[in-house]
Amino acid sequence: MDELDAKILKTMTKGVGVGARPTLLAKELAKSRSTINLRVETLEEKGVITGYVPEMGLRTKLYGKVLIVQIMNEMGKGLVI
Amino acid sequence: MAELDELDEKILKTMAKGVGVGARPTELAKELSKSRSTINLRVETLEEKGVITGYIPEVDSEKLGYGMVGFMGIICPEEVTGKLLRVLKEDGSVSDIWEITTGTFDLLAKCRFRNHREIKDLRRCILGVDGVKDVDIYLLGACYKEE
Repeated sequence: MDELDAKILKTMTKGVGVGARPTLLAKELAKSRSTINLRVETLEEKGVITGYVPEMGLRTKLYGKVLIVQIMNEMGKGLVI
Repeated sequence: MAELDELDEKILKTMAKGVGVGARPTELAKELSKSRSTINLRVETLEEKGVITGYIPEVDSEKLGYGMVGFMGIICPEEVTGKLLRVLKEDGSVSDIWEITTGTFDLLAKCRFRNHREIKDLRRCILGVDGVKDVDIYLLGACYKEE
């Protein structure tokens, strides 16, 4: 775990770099990719889906930012996010 | 409230289980000014190491018609937890469940309700599980800080 890993986690926690995978959803739900794509876009536009985030275990879900700071501290960087 | 049909609900349920959501290495690479292959490798490693356990959508409960959001604390002996968790995982009003390691409650669950009947139903359903000692539901009001 280095600084880049921490940056990746921090960026993803803000909802950047995470998104829907229509192809996988289409396969799972036995629908066409274009149908799923349209539905997902509409759900996003309507604000039903407000974003996408990584899951990092129980503690991270509750205290996402705290864990990243802990990771940074363990790395000895002591950077404040 | 947004109008949703069966397929929309299926999509949301599938995504909530972590299927059909994933990292976007190209977007990350651009944001962090790194190559796509570097980011790809890093993300894969974070996933393999179990630092990232999955990806989920963030959903606006109010848009789904759930006007009331709250937390529920449950007091129950350890031997009842397994049975209770099965009930809670099946209940549509319950979105998140945690074990509590300190304090009065043994389990804490995040809940959303469309009306007061759903609150009563959930309470009754949980108190119906043999061995459960008490249930406390706290409906949330204004949010003063959210990070």
